[in-house]
Amino acid sequence: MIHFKIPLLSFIFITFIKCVSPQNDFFDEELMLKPLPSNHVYAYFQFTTVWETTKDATTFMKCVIKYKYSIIQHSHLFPRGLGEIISRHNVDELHLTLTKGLWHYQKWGYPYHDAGPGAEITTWFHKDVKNVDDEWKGLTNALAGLFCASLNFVNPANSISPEYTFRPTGVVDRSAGVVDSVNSSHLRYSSLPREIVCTENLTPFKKLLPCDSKKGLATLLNSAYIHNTNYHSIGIHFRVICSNTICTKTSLELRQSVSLIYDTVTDVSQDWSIRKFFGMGIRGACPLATLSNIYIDISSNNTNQIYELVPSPSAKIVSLRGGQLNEIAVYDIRSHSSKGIFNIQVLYNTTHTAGLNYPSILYANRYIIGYGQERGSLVTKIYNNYWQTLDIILLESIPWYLPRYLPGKERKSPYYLELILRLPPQSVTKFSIEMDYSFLKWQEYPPDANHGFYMGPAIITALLPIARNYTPLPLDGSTITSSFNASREGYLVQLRTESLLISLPTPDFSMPYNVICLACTAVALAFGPLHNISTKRLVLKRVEMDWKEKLLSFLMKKIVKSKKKQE
Amino acid sequence: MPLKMPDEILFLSFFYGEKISSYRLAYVFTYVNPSRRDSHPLYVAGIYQIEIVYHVISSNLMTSAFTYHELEKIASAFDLDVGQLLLLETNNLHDVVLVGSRRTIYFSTETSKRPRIKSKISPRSSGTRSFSSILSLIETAIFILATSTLIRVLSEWILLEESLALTRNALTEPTLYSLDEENRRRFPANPAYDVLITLVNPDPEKLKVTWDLRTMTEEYVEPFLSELSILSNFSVKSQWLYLLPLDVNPKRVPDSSPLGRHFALSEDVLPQLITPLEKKLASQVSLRPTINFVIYAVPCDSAPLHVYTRSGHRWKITANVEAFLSPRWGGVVLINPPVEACIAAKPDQPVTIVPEQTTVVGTFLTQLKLLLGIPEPVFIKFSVKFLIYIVVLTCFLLLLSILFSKFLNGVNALSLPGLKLHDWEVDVLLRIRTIEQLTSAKLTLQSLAQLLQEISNIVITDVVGHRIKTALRLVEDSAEQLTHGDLATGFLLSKEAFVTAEAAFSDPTLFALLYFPEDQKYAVYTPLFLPAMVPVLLSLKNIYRYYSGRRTNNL
Repeated sequence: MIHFKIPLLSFIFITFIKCVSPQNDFFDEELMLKPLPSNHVYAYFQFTTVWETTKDATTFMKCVIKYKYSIIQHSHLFPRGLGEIISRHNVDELHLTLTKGLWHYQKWGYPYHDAGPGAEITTWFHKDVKNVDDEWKGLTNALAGLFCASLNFVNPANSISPEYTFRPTGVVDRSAGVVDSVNSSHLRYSSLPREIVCTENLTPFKKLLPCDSKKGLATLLNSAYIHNTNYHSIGIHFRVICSNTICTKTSLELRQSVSLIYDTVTDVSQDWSIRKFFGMGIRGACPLATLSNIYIDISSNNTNQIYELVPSPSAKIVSLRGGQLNEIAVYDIRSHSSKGIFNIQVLYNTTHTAGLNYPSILYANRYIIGYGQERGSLVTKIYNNYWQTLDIILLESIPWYLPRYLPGKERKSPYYLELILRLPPQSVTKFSIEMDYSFLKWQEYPPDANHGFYMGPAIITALLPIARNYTPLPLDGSTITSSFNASREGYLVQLRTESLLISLPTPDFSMPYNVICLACTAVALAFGPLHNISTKRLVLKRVEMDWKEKLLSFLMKKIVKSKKKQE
Repeated sequence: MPLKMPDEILFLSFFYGEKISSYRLAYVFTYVNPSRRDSHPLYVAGIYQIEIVYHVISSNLMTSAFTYHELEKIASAFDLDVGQLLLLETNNLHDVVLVGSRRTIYFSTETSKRPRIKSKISPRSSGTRSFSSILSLIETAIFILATSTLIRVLSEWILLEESLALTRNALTEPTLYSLDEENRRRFPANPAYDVLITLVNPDPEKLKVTWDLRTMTEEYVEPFLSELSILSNFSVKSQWLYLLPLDVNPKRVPDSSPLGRHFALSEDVLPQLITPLEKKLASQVSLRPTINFVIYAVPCDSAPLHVYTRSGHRWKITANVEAFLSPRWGGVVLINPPVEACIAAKPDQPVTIVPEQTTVVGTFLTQLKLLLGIPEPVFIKFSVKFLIYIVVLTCFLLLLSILFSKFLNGVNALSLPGLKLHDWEVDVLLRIRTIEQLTSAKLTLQSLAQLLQEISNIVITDVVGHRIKTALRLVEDSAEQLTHGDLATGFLLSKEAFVTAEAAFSDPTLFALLYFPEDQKYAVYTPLFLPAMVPVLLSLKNIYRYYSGRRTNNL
């Protein structure tokens, strides 16, 4: 087994320098529309807030706690609500995604941000934090309130601190003498696959934007339209980045992302437009934004799919990145919206045709096999379509109620396994774990226990040698523009597999009450005759009446019930 | 003549002494022989127990002091603790009573000079005699007037006994006493507050506001609040909000200004301005009450915006700034852009507003003082009767009008640069907070005891039990410290008592799962007892029949 580690990126900088406003922060809004070979359209919104801090990096690192308090308390474009949470809990880096649907890596390539189904949260706390679990609890509870998500269900029993899978993507304080000061004890990762993402999460998400949903690209985020997609994911990504090349100054970067997959297959015509996807045209740019752009990936507009863009773009960029050539049409919203609401249409000249799909070089599947409610098997299949070997890190995390002989503790922490694998070229690697299904305590079952238990996805981390179907921003970039022509040594992906639904043995919760009722009825039935026997005596009594009297008394009984005792 | 005031808040054993009128208090100052050095406790009313200590200082020292600065210098020779007050008699004062910046009240000699009517009468001609008797009469008038002024300053600015009593009563019996304006306005006692300054720019395309909120808070707000650090912890935050328009439509009023119009905002709709802001002001992490300050920049197309009272008059305005205060919430300042800038504005370029920092900050700090509970000094008016008296006399004797010039000045408080707080103001606030916190802690403990009596299922853990005991002890300690006149310690203990009592009351373990509802008990027991009771009831009927049958047999 070869030790493989993603190189620690301690020197990250923004590649382009912007004019700095007196407030030292700027906001960018971007939308990338990428038609996929499977006749889906990938719409990716990114709202970036970068807040340059006046203090240089060394002092920042020395007194990060104090610094963050003093800076974040006076916010301009950076959302105060989130800033307060971040500074209160000494968060260095935060990634939170709320997702509905499964990303098909094979068909759709690699998204800008990988996100497992449901809610997923990864946090690096500052190294001075003493009690990470307490901060983690406080952070998730605060974020639960901010995003109206059930993040308050995150607890040590479903959080892990894997060593290899996650690395900080922002600036890392390098203590003197210590080469790798990153300590996974300050990392927490948790996944809540059961979380259902809907409007109530989108509204607070939009509220974090400086223009809210009143101006700019955020006006397109109408829940009725974006929740009708095949896949939707909103994300919050916070980190500290360098603001200059030598990293003497740092900035706080907040990226708010919305990923959507629209289906154009089911429609009669393949044509699509902004208005069709979002229900309305673009009214104008956010006045606070430095950059307000829409990009359309028109690389597929050459072979058998020919379409035209109406109106024509402001500019066209050719991006060559890791062997992948992309042609991007750029629309500057400010110049287009000066005449009023505008709409971008993609009109196909050809009939309904499927695009050519070059499958992604690495993808994975996960499923459960076995029968009965006693034990089963968890199978992860990893596909390598590349002609060379690929080194990957596989992170399997298994909830505590599926006991396995892995590090973990019942009711305290989940079991997880990190494997560093070298996949042979053009291969399928199958990895299976046998599991027992355990009985839980009656209070531990969720409401509707028969629905089953969700299990978060496995994460496969790899540095791909080529950028085929690859979209994510480079680690040193903040905006979508930074991903154009950004060839690097490797391209980091963190694939998420399917989340699984496991049916654990579930007791009949009404049983205790049924038993009580049955037992009580039996006791009552026994008590009645016993009571009668012990209190009553059987005495023979003769009633002498001829038939006329009998008839009369019978009638009298029927008519006058109150006078029963006439004898 | 320093006056030591142990701000006794007889808490556990309420002392309702005979209320000696504050009028007599002044006589005590003046009539007691200055050579008597022993302390002289004086009970004024239920709340205070005042101890007076007399000192005699060289009159040369006093006559040499002419300016306020020199007076303050003399006063600083007295080492005064929190809660103590120095009354200093001076000759060279332009006012009857001057309240100093520290814990000193200067009063002029007239106030203390006892009119010696008899000694003035000397065997001279009748004309002189009548003149001297008029003179002495005037002296008496001045004396009464001056002493009453001093008393009123003491009771209405410093001691605020009625207000304190009301605060206590309104907390204990909210149904019987309604809060006064000050009580309704100030924030409830809390060990920590957030101060959030929000700048709202409703139209960033047309309006640009240049202001460094961070520097502003660091230079003005934080130094101000640091003076109150004994009271509570304050953390100051600021934020900018964009694209939050007013929810109300101000009425357009034509006028003669260069713009030809202004916009009128009725006083009635002011609460509606706050509501849309609320959703952006909440904090996810802070449990402390937030004192909000909102600066609303008015865009040119709805400027100038003015607030009108209910009666239809415009508010007094200063420097394009209109402000209002919302009790227990915060303050709002509307900043109108300069008219010239609006006239010169081009349609595609934003108008820049540079707010007048000192005006806005001054407004905020004034509002902050009110919201925290530092009362506005009441303007002390002289009673009409005395005024008429004096006016009549002055008409007769214009010569003596010089003497009365002081009364035109009346009472003055030394204003401090940079809106700094007077020490005595902080003392006043400390007294109010102490009584609030002690009463509140006591009430919390009482209601906890009541709750425990009513719901016996509640489990008190060791932690909660310890908190209850600690809170009780702290309340007692605080009251004890107050009896000894140590206001600072008493306040700190009362704060701790308040926090501990609240923590005990709101401990989550009180709401543990041990609570088993009554109806569920019935649900469990009914299936057993209901069927079992049927034969028992039937046999009761038999017993009845048996006895009633026997009775008829006996008959």
